[in-house]
Amino acid sequence: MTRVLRQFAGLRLSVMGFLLLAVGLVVHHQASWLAPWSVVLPIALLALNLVSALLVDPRFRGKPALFGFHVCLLLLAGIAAWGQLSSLHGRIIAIEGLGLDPTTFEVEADSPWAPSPQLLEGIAQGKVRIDYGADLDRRTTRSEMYSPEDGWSVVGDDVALQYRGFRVYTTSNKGFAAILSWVPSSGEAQLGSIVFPSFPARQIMQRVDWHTPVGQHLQFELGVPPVPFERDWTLDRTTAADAPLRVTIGGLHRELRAGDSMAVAGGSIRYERVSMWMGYRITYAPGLPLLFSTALLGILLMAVDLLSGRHSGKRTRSNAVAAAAGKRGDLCR
Amino acid sequence: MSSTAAYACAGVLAVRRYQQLVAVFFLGGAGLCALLIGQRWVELDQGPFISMYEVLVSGIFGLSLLYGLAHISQPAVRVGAPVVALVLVVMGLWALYSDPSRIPLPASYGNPWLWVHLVFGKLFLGTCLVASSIAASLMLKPRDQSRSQVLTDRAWQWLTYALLFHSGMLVSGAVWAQDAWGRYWSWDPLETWAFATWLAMAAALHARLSLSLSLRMQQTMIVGVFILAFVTFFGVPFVTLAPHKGAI
Repeated sequence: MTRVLRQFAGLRLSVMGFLLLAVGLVVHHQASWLAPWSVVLPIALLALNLVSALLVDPRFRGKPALFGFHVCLLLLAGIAAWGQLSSLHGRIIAIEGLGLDPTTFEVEADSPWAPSPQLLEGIAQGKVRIDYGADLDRRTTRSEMYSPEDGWSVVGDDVALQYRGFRVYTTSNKGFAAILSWVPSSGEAQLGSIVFPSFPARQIMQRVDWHTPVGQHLQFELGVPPVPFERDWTLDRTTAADAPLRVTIGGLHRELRAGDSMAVAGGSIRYERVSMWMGYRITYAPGLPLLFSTALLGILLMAVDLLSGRHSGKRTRSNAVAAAAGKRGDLCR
Repeated sequence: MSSTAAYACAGVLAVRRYQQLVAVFFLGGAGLCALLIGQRWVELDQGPFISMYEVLVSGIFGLSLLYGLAHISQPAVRVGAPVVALVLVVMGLWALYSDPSRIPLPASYGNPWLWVHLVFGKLFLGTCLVASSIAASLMLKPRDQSRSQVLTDRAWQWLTYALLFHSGMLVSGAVWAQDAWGRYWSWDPLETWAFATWLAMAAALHARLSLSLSLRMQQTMIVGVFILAFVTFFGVPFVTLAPHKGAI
C-alpha cells in the first residue's frame, strides 16, 4: 500500500498536475464542451497526489503548519466540489408591493443537488430607490425586501438578502411595471403586472406587447418623463407616478391614468398604478462559510510555516550544500 | 512625472552603487505618487481603482514603497535595484500617456473587502517584483556560483512570500466578488489569469524542489512568474470584457 502511495506522492507529479491544470484552464475557455472536466480531472489528480504525499512523504514530519496548509488545500477542493454539486444560480424579477413568484426564476447554472427555487416562496418586494449622479452615474441601490425569517430588511449593491440558504442580490436591471386588473365579462377580477424594459438603460423604449387572457393583442407604452442628466436624482416609483399609460389596440390609441379602465374583448382592464420592478441575481452556494474559513486557516498556516524560518533556512543550507557538492538541490521541501 | 524621474535617478544611482541614496529616491517617488493619489482622491471623491491610469499610479506607489523598504531592510535585494527602477520608469511613462479621466466607481466598490483584496494585491506584486529583480539582475550580470546560489535562494524566499500574499488576494477577492457580483468565482479572464499566476508560482516552487534545475533556469522561472503577474495586473483587465466595471 505504501509503495503504491509513494508512486502518487512525488513532487514531479505535482508539477505535472499544475501544468495539466494550466492547460485545462485554457481548454475551459476555448472548448466549453470539455468544461468542467478539463479543470476537474487535473484537480482530482493533484488531490490524489496530495493525499498520497500527506500520508507517506517524510518532508511533512516536523512541519505541522506546512502539513496543515496542504490539508486545507485538500479540504478546499472537497468543499468547492460539494458546493458546485449543490449550487444554483439564476435570475428573477420582483415587483414592488407583490410577492416573489418562484415560477419565474430563470436558471443560469444548475447542479445535481440544487434545491428547488420554490423555497423562495414567501419573499415580497417593498420600495425600491436608486440614487444617480450626473451622466447616469448609478450610486446607491436600496431595495426593501420581506422574508418570513427576518421580516423587512434593506438590500442592495453588496448587501444580499439571505433566506433558506439563498443569497438574493440586486442587479443594475430594474424598471417600471404597470399594475393592471383584468376584469373578465364573467368571473373574478385578477391582479397582474406588465413589465416594461429596463430603466433608465432603455428609457426611450418603454413599450411592451401583451395578449389578454382571451388572446387580444395590446401594446402598452409608459410615458416616463426624461431623466435629468446634469444633476443628482433618485429613481423610484414616483419618477413615473404621473406617467400616462398609452394602450394601442388595432391601431387605435387610448391613454390611461391610474384608476382608469377600458373595455377590451372579453372584459376590461383597469390601470391600478405604476410600480418599480427590480432584477435579482440569486445564488445558492451552501459551502461558502466553510470554504472561507478553510482558506483563511490555510493562509494562516502558510504564514506560520514561512515565519517559523525552518522552511527557508533548511532549504538554503541544503541547496548550498548541494551546490558545493555539484548535486541537485532538492533535499528539502 | 517627477516620481518617474525619481525612479530613473534611483536606477542610475543603483548602477553606480550609491545604495543609501537609491532607497531615498524609491521612497521619495512613492511619496510623490501618494500625494498625486491623495489629491486626485479629494478632487474626484473616489479611490484609484478603475482606469488604467489609476491602476498604474497606485501600482507604482505600492511597488516603489515596498521595494524601498525592502532595499533598506534587506541588503541582498539591492542587486535588483536597476531592474526595479527600469520597471517603475516604464510604468511611469505608461501612466503619463494614459487617459486620466474619471470613470465612475460602481456602487459595489464600497465593500471593505475590496481594500483587503487591494492590499494583498500590492503586497503580492511588490514581493514578486523583489524576487524577480534579484533573479533578473543575476541573469543580466552573473555572479560567482556561491553568491548566485545565495541570492537565488533569497529570490525564492521572496517568491514564497508572494505566494502567500497572492493566496490572500484570491481569497479576499472571492469574498468581495461574492457580494459585489453574486458569485465568488466565475473563471472570468481576470480570475483565470490570476489563478494561472498562482499555479505558476506553486509549480515553480515544487519544480525547484523536485527537478534538477540550473540556477539560470530557476532565475528564468522567477522572472517568468513576474511577467505573468504583470500581464494579469496591467493587461488582462483592459483587453477583456472588463468585468470590474459597473452598469447603469
